Amino acid sequence: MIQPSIIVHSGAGYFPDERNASKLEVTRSAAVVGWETLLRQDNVLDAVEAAVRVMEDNVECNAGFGSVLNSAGDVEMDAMIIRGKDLSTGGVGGLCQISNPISVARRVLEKTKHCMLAGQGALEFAVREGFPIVSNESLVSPRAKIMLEGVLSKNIAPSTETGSCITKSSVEEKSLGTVGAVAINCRGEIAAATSTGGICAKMPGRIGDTPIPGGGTFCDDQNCGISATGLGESIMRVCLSSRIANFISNGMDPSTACLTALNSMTERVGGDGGAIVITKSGVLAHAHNSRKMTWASVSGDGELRSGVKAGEEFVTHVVVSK
Amino acid sequence: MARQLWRGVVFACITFCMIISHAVAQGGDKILIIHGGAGTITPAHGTAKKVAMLAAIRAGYAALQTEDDAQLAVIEAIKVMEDSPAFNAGTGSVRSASGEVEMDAIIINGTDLGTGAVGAVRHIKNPITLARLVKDTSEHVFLVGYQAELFALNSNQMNLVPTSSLIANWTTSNEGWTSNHPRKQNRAGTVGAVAVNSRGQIFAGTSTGGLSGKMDGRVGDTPIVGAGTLADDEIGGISATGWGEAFIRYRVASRIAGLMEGGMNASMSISTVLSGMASRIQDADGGAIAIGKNGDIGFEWNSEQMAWAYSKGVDIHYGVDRGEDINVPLDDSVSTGSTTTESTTPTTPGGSGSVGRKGGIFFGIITAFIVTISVV
Repeated sequence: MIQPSIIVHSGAGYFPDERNASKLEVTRSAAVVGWETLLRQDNVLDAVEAAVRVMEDNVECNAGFGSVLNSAGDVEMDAMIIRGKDLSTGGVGGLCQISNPISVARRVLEKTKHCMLAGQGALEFAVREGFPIVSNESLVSPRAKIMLEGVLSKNIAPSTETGSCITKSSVEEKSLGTVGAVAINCRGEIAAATSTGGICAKMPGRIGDTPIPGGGTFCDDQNCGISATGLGESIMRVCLSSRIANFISNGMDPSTACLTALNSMTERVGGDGGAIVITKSGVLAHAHNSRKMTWASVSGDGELRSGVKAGEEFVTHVVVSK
Repeated sequence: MARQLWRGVVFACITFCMIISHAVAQGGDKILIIHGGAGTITPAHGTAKKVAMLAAIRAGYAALQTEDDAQLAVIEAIKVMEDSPAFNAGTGSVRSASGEVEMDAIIINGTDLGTGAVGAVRHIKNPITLARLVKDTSEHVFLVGYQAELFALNSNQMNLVPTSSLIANWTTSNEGWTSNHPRKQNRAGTVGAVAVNSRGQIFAGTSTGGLSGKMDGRVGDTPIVGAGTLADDEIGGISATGWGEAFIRYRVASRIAGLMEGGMNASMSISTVLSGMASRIQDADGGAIAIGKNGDIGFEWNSEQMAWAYSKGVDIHYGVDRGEDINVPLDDSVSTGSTTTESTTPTTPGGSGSVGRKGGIFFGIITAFIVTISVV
């Protein structure tokens, strides 16, 4: 019997220790909301969407509000959601002026025959479906603006973790804040979701790994569900989550599978990152070869686990609100 | 006597080394394989595709022959097919729900996994060249929509063209966007190419106008690494065509690569994955071409037809209908050619590149032996 579970992340990369607490808080909160949704509705798509929405709405995360800015100062977002039962997929790329891209991605999955809508076409679809258009400014956080100004004027290496000014020489400190969630119910149905604002100062129109099945998001009830975070270009080029999934289906334990695939990616094409996994038998795992990755999970009888640095794990108990 | 023997041995070694280095420099087979879409292809459409595919193979293979450049081979072959109205790519692309031409394309370097892709881009005559520009001149892998067009404009390397110039008579007469079934919307004309040079460097590329009547902004499998296209010198190169959404969901190119990496030949890998896709996703069909890292080729489909062609330098094999395999010389100034019909799709055994090296080594040993004996 599989324990209903959910695991979420709010990005792998680097940020100063002063931010650990706030990152942990939003990530735990997202995991708890996802968990409650799972218990209440027994629908894994609902659960991952709910968890990701919490993080999209929070300024601490590079998704929705608080997204990093492209080189023109605009918020342009990618998101994807996959149902592992039948591989149904919905994604958006380069979506502007919508508060919760993950919900538009879900609508693509449920209402269209397509897997991805991009750019202007994605926005037009969202509007047709009744999603309110918001101003670009309402999605821009002060921190994101400062970060972009820093990158454009001071020749600082582009980053997706807003607020950390890093010099071009320490490119390994590229920090990222993509968010994601994976959930499984007692019948072994899995869903995975990822959402991001991309890379600070990216070229307008640039799509990353997030809405790429087998790249930043993966889900198949016959194998596992994965959400990854890291340098999008690297993740796409090596099909990171496909690689992790292949290792897992060949018997590797999920944590080792993530690390092996991540290290192999770093060696082959550079960049680093992290991933969260739930296997078809309900095993939860997370790993990162970046400096940090904020993650949180709830499973069993409500045990909430979370961490930021490698090897770190805080354990508390969730009080489920009725 | 000893000094003569010593001189002979030295001379033999030098000769041996020269033979070996020559044999190694000859390297493996240069191969180019292309496809011009899988689905339902009418006889008239098939004839038009065949003519264009021959031109595409010849244009692409010239780059392999003269410059040993697999990337140029892929690009030149795809450009010919993009410019031909007989394919759903570049000129001749189908139209979206609003009547626009929106195209996807990708090119991947198997050596360093360098990738360039564009999605839902309008007003570009040769999207494969824009994909290459993304790979070579930007820090990114994937650009979409009108921003990708701005990138093209700012590059000063290509102009934008009006949508009307991309719409061909062929597609207007075959438009079926009133149909809702994805199979009917697949106008069987995505184009792709995989090439390997003598040093085993692989490139793969794909280009398409997508599904007829698709929603504006829809991106298919073509520009998604691991869905419709993949290249990795350590595994092989793959380009696929069919109902794009199924290829995305089933991650067709990744799965084919996974089987090839495990030792299965290219043909069997493609067939296995297409069957798996069809059993997992209702009505999913299409086809793919592949070259394995040892030079073994495959071209398989589970739709009714697939336009395919390949050359290894002497002749061109091509076909559209199942069991069809027409053979003409690569050099079209040669007058003779032959048509054969085989019941199974021909594949080339792996390791075709090693014959040159083994022959060179053997010849070297014999020569060294003869030289040593004669000197002594």
